[in-house]
Amino acid sequence: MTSDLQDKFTESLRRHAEPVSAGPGLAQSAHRRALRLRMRRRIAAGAACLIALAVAIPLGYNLLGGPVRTDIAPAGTNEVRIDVGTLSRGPDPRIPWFQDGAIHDGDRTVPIQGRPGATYSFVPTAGGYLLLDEDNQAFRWVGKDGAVIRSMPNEAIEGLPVVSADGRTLAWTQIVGNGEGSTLVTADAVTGTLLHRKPVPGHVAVAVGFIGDAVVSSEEAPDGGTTRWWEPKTGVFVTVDHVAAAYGTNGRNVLVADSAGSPVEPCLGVFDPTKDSSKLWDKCSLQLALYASSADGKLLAFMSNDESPKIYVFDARTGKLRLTVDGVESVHNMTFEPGGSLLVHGAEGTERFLVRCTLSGTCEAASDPIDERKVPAPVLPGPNN
Amino acid sequence: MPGNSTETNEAFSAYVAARQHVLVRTAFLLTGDHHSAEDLVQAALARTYLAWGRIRDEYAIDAYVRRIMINEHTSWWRRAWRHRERVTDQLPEPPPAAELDLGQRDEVWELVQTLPPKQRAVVVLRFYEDLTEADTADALRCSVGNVKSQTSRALASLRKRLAPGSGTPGNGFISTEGGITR
Repeated sequence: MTSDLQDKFTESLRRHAEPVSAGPGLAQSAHRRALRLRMRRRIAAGAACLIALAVAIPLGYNLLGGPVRTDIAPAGTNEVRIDVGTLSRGPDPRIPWFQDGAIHDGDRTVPIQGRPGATYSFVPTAGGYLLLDEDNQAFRWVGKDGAVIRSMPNEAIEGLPVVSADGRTLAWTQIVGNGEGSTLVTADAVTGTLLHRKPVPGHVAVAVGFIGDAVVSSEEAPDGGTTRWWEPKTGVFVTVDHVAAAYGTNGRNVLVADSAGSPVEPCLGVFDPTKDSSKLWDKCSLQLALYASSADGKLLAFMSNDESPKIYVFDARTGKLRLTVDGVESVHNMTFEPGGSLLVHGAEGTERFLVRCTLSGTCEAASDPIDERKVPAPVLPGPNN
Repeated sequence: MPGNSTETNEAFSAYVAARQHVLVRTAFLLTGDHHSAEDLVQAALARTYLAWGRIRDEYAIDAYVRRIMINEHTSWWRRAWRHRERVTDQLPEPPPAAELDLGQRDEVWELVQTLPPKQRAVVVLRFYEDLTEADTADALRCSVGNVKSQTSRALASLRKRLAPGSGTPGNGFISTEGGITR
């Protein structure tokens, strides 16, 4: 009898499954979704790592009025095309970067112990740097003198931790089991001491950034996702209204996220989570590939997810377009420098180097060309991929 | 497994092209509708892509995707359950019948669609994918004993449903984590 019942299950399941087939675009859709998810993770870490580098950039704001829908390229915006063959050599990056086994940070060269030729993902903190080993197996808190303060095995931590605006607190997501749930964790960015934990059963809530002391986490889901607000000191853990999944924050008062309500055609929006999550402006036509925030949170850079990607730099609060960068060949990460100039990766053939583009619309090389077949390319803060 | 991004993209695309129909069929059995099935496969494949470099054995990819699909589907179900719980304080209704017109009523399929997600996954893995109890337990991250008990409950539900005089299927059936009760 039991065998008969099992056969009935099998027969019914096969009967209903047999006519089902994948739609014609499943492979492409799955790939796009994978890239989007990866980009979201890269964005989260890439944006957060900049926030620790606090430098004021005086800019005027229009804080009045509701959401502003900005055109991609209004008249009068500075536009620049990176022509790798004609770039002059400018100064080295004004932010920490990794090359030749060391982090170069202003006048300091901080050697990193490890295999010669290895590269690392890292984020600057108030006390130095948090490194993720090249094999993603362990995190290291490294002081500005290169001393290892603490090591921690990478036990199912999602991406790179995010850093608070003052560089003193880290937050990350630890996956439970095979995604049955997750735990949000905060730690002292200088000492590595664990501070708070927030289990999130049933959901993979990825920490995407800080707003002040609060940690913003984002969950992928077919309905567009959910963004949550966690205050570790008080235990408050609430859903952020009006937004679906989030990409990141500027550390202070701006959240970059998809607007809620349209999972099929997500609309990229910029919100103020400190004011009822009101939308400041949006850019529905932009498919986001990479995101970066300036250290003071006043500028946002979005790289489009096109075959020929462009970078758009906006005022974070008003959405005013400040700069368009075209001719981006290969961007693994992008980072603002103090003063608002943008660092990106440039490539010509197998040669890789860093390019600096200013808000006034000029670009220059910020490192010497490297043949990446022979020597690892320079690494900007954020994920190394 | 491939190491650089180009190789990963190519290997991933080849895998998706080769296995998409199989995966969508399994997802359809888990979700009960085609749209959700494709969504579920996409979600699982996206996470698989991100873990591509960590999956040491290429023959384990199917198992990895399957495991994520089940977890993701359970997560969706829980989310829907919680939403309904807040709004109506009632257990979720059984999902709608499949969109396919198969020309005749299928009481077994109707039962499958009322099963809670874990029990449904056990049924799909054991009786459609033909996995062993041990492999099913591995996919569900539970004990073999749990697989046995879930299987037993599903079979008992089916036995009761197919018994003469059991009444109109669907009437009075409420889905619970422990099985089907009346």
